[in-house]
Amino acid sequence: MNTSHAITVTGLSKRYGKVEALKAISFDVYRGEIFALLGPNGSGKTTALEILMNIRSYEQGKITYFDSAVGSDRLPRIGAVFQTRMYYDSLSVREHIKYYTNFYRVKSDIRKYLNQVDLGDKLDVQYGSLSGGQKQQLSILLALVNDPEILFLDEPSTALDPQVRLRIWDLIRALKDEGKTIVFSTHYIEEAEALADRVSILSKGELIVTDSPSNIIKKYNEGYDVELSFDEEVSVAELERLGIGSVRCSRGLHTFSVSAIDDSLLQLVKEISNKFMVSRINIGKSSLQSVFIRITEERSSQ
Amino acid sequence: MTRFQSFFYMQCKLAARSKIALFWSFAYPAAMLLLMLSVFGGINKAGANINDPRLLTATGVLVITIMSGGIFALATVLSADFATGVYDRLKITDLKPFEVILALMLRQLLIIIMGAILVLAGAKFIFSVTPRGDFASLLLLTTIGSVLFCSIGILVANLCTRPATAAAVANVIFLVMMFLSGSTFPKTFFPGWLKAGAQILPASHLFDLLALQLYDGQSIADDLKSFSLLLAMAGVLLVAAVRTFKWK
Repeated sequence: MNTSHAITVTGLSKRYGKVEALKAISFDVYRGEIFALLGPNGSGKTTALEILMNIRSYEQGKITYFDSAVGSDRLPRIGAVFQTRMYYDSLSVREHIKYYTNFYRVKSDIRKYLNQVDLGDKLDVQYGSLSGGQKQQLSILLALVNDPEILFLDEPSTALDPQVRLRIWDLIRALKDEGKTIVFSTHYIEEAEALADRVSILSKGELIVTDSPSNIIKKYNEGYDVELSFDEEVSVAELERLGIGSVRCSRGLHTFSVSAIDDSLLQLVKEISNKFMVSRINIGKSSLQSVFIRITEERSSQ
Repeated sequence: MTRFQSFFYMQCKLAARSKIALFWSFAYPAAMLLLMLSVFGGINKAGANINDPRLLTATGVLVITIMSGGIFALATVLSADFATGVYDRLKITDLKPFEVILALMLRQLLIIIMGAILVLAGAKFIFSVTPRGDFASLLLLTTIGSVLFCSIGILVANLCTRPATAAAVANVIFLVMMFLSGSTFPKTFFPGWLKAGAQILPASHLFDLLALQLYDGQSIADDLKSFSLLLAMAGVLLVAAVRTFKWK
């Protein structure tokens, strides 16, 4: 990966009335990397992406592309995939490709990507008749018609079935292999972990950390995640009363983090087993998911 | 194909495939013509002469056709496209605002000209009302009127944040001009203050100039004041439409 900067964002702030959508965030995106903006809904990911795409204004801050400030002559060719489907229901896939290719000075031969998306036999189907996954794949295809240097994708796999999601991930990886810089937003931690070279975690408009997923885990790591399932109703409060710092509960699975597997952990597990009907215990290395949930919850409670 | 041509062809294709656009462009003027000439004229009346009031009715329908094709088509469709973000996507292409506006206006001009031909042909062949005036002057006035009302439509879409608001504002502007321009009621019935107020409206000048052609059989040169005012209003509104265009 090239370590020269494709995008440099410094002190970027944006308000919607009284709401501070972005609070002086700063980060860099390296040339040729896949960079994720990860955050819960309402964290400011889409706002940040739209500002980077130059379709939304901002109050303060500075953005440079390839070391040239926005507003200068040297702006990169960008491609964009938006969260909402911004195309015409009555135009076919072929018509969309033809017209949108003509809207750019630099044109790319996107036939090479047709095999990688599920649209080869849908060229004459109108956009309004495509499935959600096909619409999203067309959005990605249309983002490539100008051979972009930087590709922005706003939640590229939201509401898609697993097969389509994997297909889109493969396409994103293939685009990275071509040397494109890719910036995407997501609230799927596994998507950021699977695709991104580096991740910025956003919460309530604040940028908490920017680093590679493995470094973020190391940095915020408490060592291990302990997952517990019970054969009875057990509340988070009941577990926390046993002296466990912070317990997260999702779909019946209780999780807490510890710094090491030692005697005190074994003692704690024994105590829990004696008090409750434990059906399963799983101890594993901390994941980006547990780190993400913990640090965004900490921000929310502040 | 250039960016402009591509956007223009795309817009024409979209209009041709839109039932709503086809209704407002052709079915609505045709219905207005049938309704108004039936009410105010009568089918198969003997051919028009210089004082035939049905020529004024046909002129009114022509002005309404130009107004609806300009104001409604652009205010409602454009504001809906702004709301769905279609133009956010277009903004990151190499298309320039003036190319977008020019293509939209050119498309509407073609539609309006087809609607105008439909109205005048309908008047002639169904109601035996033969419009007077020369083709070049009618085309010139239709073009200026289209630019003017398209600019109003774009302005409304630019300034209203929601499609529903844009539709409501477009309705108010359209109805005020339809009733006060002389297109539906003769201005001679208006009290003095209303008559003076109506002359502020661009539709009044368009109606007066078209009536001068179609009803009186005179030329634009006979009312250069109205023509100059119409041209100036079209210019000012066009500049305002381009300047306020924000892609959203």
